[in-house]
Amino acid sequence: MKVKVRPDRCIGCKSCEIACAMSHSSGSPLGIAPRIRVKHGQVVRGQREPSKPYVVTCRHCAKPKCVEACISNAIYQDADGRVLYDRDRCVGCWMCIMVCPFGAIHRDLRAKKVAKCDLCDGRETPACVQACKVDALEIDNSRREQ
Amino acid sequence: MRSFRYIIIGNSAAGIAAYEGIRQKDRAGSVAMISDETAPIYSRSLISYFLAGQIDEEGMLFRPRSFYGREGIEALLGRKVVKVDPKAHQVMLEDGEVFGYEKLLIGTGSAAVHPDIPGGGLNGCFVFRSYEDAKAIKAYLPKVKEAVVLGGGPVGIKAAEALSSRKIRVTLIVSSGNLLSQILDGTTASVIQKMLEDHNVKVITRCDVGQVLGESSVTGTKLADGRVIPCQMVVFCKGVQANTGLAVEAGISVRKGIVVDDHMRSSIPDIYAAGDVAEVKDILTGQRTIHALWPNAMQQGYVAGMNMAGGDRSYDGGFGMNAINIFGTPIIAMGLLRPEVRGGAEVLTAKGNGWYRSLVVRDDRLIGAFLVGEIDSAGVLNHMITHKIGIHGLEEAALRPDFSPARLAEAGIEIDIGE
Ligand SMILES: Cc1cc2nc3c(=O)[nH]c(=O)nc-3n(C[C@H](O)[C@H](O)[C@H](O)COP(=O)(O)OP(=O)(O)OC[C@H]3O[C@@H](n4cnc5c(N)ncnc54)[C@H](O)[C@@H]3O)c2cc1C
Ligand code: SF4
Ligand code: SF4
Repeated sequence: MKVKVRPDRCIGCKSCEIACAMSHSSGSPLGIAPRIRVKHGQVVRGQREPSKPYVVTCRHCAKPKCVEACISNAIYQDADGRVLYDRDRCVGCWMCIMVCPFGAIHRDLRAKKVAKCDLCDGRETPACVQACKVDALEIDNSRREQ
Repeated sequence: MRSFRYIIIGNSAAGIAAYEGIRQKDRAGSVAMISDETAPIYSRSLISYFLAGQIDEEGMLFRPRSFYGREGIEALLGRKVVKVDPKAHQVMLEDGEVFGYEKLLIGTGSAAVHPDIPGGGLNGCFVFRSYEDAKAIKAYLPKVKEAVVLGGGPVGIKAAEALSSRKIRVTLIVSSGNLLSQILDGTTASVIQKMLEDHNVKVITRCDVGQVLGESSVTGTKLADGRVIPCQMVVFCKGVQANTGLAVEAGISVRKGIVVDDHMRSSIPDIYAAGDVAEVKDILTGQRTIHALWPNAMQQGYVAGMNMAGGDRSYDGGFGMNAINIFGTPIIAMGLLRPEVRGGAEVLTAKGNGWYRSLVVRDDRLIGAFLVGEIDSAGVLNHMITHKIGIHGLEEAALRPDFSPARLAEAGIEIDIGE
């Protein structure tokens, strides 16, 4: 299972970011870093007009670079191909950040550990997918070869 | 004599990945994993975190304790292989027992160099490579107020930081002109030196220890220039040497490491090598080298395992990269950064509040990146280096901390990971 992005549909409203932060906090999402992020291309040299939005989130790669790089086995791939994360094991070495081609792993500055998409482990539909009003995020259950 | 379809020497990154690669292709073939270490599968890269007290024994485990039993592997721990006989397809252990194999992986890694200097064998002298080393250092800490760490590479810096976090006054002694001299130039390295010094780690460059002082235990070190530094512990982090002895004796082609082809095959049939003991292609220099990195060992081991079990995978090569934390500041160094290796390449730099970044560009391709403070987009830069993606027009964006694949998408570049 993974979340598939349909860039043509995204309108850049950031509902997914807020839903992600909510889903990963017990109370207020304020100060909780979302694991999905809506980015824009430009911003260089004074241009103000945002270009097309681009959703940065974990692709749950079939042969994940982050898993190969994690020195503590905090990031692992489960039998369903989900790339999950055991926060307690993370030592904050940033190896995974150095190798994720999508820039989908972020530092949780307070905990000195990383935060990444866990597909809202335990929830049937990830919060971001549920929150997206224009169906730019969808669940992909296809199996891929390792 | 017992025989196994697969024998893996070394139960660290390369060995585990090889096992997992084998099992992708062959669910049932018998596997023996042999290691001279007694610990169950642990992560070597974590020993500095263990020394610092940040993680415990459970945190050190890289696979659950049940790994061997559950996965049906014969684990021969605390046993050393002393001979490989390629003709007979056999390995011999120190205790004389002989095992037959069909396919063999040499994943013996490397060993810390223990410099031969007067006093180097006194109580309180250590190297820093294994779990045992970390445990021994930890057990010795109550006797220590001041420590000298020798070697300014990533391992020396990690040892210094771990000891310092234990309230020990640390002096880091570096033979070359700057820290991380295999990776960085002097100007860049001085940023890191300053960070260490701001946290009370004293750094002395261009100097070596001539002698360790003491009767039976360390009481100090005498530097080559005559200076004496009182200390109760000396940690040698003066580099490593690949464990190639078995391969050399078996007649396998060895340079600095075991020479392998892109299928991780050695020069002798049915013998493969992976990890810190193997010499592989550097995709940036085109030369054969040892990368000595955990992810590289994992990738190589996996490819070797798949091929040992009849697969046809190739390993494309890698390049040098390091992620380190200096007292909370994240630092990432990738690719060719030193002037000697980057040649006439262009160097672009940018900095802001709490961050610094430099990029090395040659023929419109990114060949190196150095990031301090803000590192979230490091992986995207890594991907650009690996896949030789043209950087023209993206330089300014790539220098910013908020660089992301969005900027590539806008330039019409898709991140293709081959799925
Ligand atoms: C302090 C420290 C920090 C590090 N941090 C990082 C990091 O943050 N990121 C990173 O990418 N890399 C890091 N590394 C490097 C990384 O740990 C190595 O690249 C990795 O462990 C290599 O794995 P390997 O399987 O090739 O060999 P090794 O881990 O060296 O394992 C080889 C095993 O084979 C055994 N062996 C050798 N000869 C024999 C024999 N004759 N018979 C039986 N057994 C034998 C050895 O005892 C050992 O257990 C660090 C290393 C150290 C020391
Ligand atoms: S974090 Fe990055 S490398 Fe890891 S699975 Fe997700 S997209 Fe792939
Ligand atoms: S930062 Fe944490 S999750 Fe990432 S590689 Fe290091 S230990 Fe693993």
